[in-house]
Amino acid sequence: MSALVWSALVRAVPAPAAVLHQLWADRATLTANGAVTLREAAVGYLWGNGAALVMGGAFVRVPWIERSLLRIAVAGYCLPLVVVGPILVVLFSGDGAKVALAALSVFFTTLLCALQGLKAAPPASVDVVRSLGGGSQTIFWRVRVPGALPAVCAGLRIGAPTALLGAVIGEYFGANDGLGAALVQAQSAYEVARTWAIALALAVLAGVLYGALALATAPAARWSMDDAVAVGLPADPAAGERGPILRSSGFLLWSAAWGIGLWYLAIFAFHLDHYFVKTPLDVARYFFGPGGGANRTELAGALGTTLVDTGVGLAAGMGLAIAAAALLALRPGVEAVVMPAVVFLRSIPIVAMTPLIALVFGRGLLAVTVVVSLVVFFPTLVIVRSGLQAAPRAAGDLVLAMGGNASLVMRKVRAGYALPWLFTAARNAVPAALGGAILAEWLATGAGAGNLLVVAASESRFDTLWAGSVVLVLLSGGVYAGLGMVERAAQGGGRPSYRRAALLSAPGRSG
Amino acid sequence: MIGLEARHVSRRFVLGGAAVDALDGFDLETPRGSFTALIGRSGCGKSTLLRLFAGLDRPTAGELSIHGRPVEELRARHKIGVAFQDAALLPWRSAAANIRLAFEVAGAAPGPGAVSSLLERVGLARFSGARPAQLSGGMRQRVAIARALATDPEVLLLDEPFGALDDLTRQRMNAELQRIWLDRSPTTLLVTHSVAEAVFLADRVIVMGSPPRRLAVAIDIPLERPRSRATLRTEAFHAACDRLTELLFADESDPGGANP
Repeated sequence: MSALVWSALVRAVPAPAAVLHQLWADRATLTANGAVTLREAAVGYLWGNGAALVMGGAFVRVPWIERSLLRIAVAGYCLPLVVVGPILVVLFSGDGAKVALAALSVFFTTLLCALQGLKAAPPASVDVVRSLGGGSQTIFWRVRVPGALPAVCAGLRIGAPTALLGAVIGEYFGANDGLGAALVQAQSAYEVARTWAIALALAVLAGVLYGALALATAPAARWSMDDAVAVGLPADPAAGERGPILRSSGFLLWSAAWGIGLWYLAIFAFHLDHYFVKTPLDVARYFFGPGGGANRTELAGALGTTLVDTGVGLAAGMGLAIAAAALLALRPGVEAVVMPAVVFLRSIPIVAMTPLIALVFGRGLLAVTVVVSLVVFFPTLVIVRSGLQAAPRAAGDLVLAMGGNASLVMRKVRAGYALPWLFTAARNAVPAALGGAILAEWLATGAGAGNLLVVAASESRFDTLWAGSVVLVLLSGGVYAGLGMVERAAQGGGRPSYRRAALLSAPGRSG
Repeated sequence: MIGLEARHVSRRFVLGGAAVDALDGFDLETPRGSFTALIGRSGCGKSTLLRLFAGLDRPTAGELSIHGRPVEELRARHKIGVAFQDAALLPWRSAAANIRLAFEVAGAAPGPGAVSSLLERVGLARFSGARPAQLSGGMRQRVAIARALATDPEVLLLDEPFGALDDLTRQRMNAELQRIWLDRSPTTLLVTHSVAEAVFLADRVIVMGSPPRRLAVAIDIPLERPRSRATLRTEAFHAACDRLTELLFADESDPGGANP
C-alpha cells in the first residue's frame, strides 16, 4: 500500500527544475491565461467590494435596512461558493459567472468587516462630536468612517486572493481561457510538470496580490486598536451585537423566508427563463411531487458521500490545526519563525489547487481529505493561535507563581480563553470545508453532491441542480447556526460571551 | 528571622535596543511574618521586584530568597500566593471553581469545606456559584485574595490588588485584608500607589525612588493592630502619611511648582 502511494507520488511530483523549465516554456500562454483570470478577478473584486461598502454604510445609517438584510448577509457568509457556481453559469453568459463568483467571494467578508469597523467607534468619540454640535452626517464621516478603515482594509486585503479564487472556480465550471481552465486541462491530460507550473503561477499571483494589498493597507492597519483586525482575521459575523441574530432559533426560518422572497423577486424582476431557473415551488415539487421518492434517494445518496468527505477532512484539518497552534504557543521561538509563513500560505487559494492535489493524491477519499483539511488548516491555526494569546497575562502569571508550568497554563487558562475562538474557527471552516469537498468530488472523485450538481447542470436537469443547491445551502447554514447554539450552551445559557466579559474586566475598567 | 531578602538585585530590560534598569543593585530585608508595603511612582521597579519574588522573572544579577530558601523552591512547593490588579479570574469558572484552581495547580484535593470556608473568610459565602461577570470589581478581588490564600502560602505577594477599585470600596477591602492577614500572618509584600493604603496595612513601608536617584527609604509604621476606621483619624496615621508623601516627592527639584 505505502509502496503504491510512494510510486504514485514519485510520478506526480516532478523535479523542481522540470517545473521551472515548464514555467519558462509556457510563459506566453501562462501570461495570457493569467491576464484573463486577473481581469475577471479584478472586475469582480471591484463590484463585490463596492457593493459591500455601499451596503455597509447604508446598514449603519438606516437601522431598519440592517435589521432586515443582515440575516441575509450572515446567511450568505456561510454559502459555499462552489454550490452557487453552476447556478451562476446558468444565469450569466460569457465571463459574467466568473466575475459574479469573484464578487460574491469578496462581498460578505468586506460587508462584515465594514459593519464591524463602522460600529467600532468608541461611544465617547461619538458623544464628543455630538456635544460639539455635530449631526449624524458629521459623526458618520468624521468618526465612523475613519474608525472603520482598519477593519475595511483587513477585508480588502483578505479579498484579493479570494477574488482570484472565485474567478478560478468560475473557470472550472466552463471556460476556454484563464489559469483555472488551463489547470483542469493539464490535470486531465496528466501533464504533470505543466499542472505544477500552472498551480505555482496561480500561487505566486495570489501571494503577490495579497502582498501588494497588505503593503497598500498597512498604514491603516497600524492605527487599529483591535488585535484581530490587525492580524487580518476575518470578521466574525456572530461576534458582538450581531450574535443574537445568529443565535435566535428563528435564524434559519427567517433566512429561508427572506431567501424565498428574494428568489421570487429576482425571477420576477429579471424575467428569468423558467427552463433554467426553478422556483421554490419547483424545488418542493421535485422532492415531494411525482417521482419525488427517486429524487430524494438520489440526492440523499450523494449528500451522504459529501458529508463523509467533509467530516473526515474537517476533523483532520481542525485537529491538526489545534495541535499545531498549541505547540506553537508553547514554543515562542518556533512560532516567530513559522507564523509569517503560515500567514502567507493562508493567502494561497487552496481550493483552486484541487486539480493539482488530485494529480498527486489520486482520485479517492485521500485527495478529498487533503483538499478539505488544507482548506481548514490555515485559517483555523491562525484563529486558534489568536485565541490562545487572548488570555490575560495575569491569569497565566498567577498559575506560574502558584507553582504551575507552561503546559498547565495552557490547559487551565489558555485553552479556556481560546474556546470561543475555536467556535469562530469552526463556523468559518464548515462552509469552506463543504465547498472544498464539493469541488474535490467534482474534479477528483466523481462522486457525491459535487459531481451530482455538475452532471445535472451539463445534462440540463436544472431541477436537480436547484434542489441540490438549496439542500447544500440549508445544510451549511444549519451547521453554522447549530454551532452558534452549541457555543451559547457551552458558555452557560445566554450570558454575554466571556470574550467580551474578559474585555470588560480589563484593568482600569472593572468595578 | 528573615522573611523576604534581596541582595544587590538588578534587573535590566532591553526595550527597542535601549537598556533600561528597572532595578539596579537593590537590597531588601523584611522580617518573617511581617507586612511590607512597597510604594513609589510608576516605573520605579516595584512591580519588577514583586515579579522576581513570585518567580515569574529572574534577576540579571544578585540573589533573592524567601525564608532563607531560593524563590524557585517555594514556588515548586506551591507556597507562594499572589494577587494582581487584574483579578485574573477565569470567566468560565464560578467563584468556588476559581478558588479550586489553586488546589488543582498544587495537585492537592481541597479538604472538605475548604473552598466554602475560604469564601466565608472573604465574605462571599452566598456567591460560590456566581460567575466573575456577575460579581462587582470588589467581589472579584475578594475571590482573587481567597484564591491566593487557598493553599495556606508562606508568602503573600500583592501587586496593586485594589488599584482599579473606587476609594470607598478600597477602604473596606483594606480593612478586610487586614482581618484576613491577622489570621495567619504570612510574610506579605504589597505594591501600591496609595499612601493611605500603605500606612493602613503595613508594618513597614519602603519608598522606592525614581531614576536617576534611586533611593529606597524604609519607614516603620508603629500603629496598633487591629487598625480600624478610627486609626485613619489619628495623628500618628497622618504624620506617617505626610512623611511618606514628602519622601515620594523628595527628588523633585521644585515641588511647589509641580503641576500634577
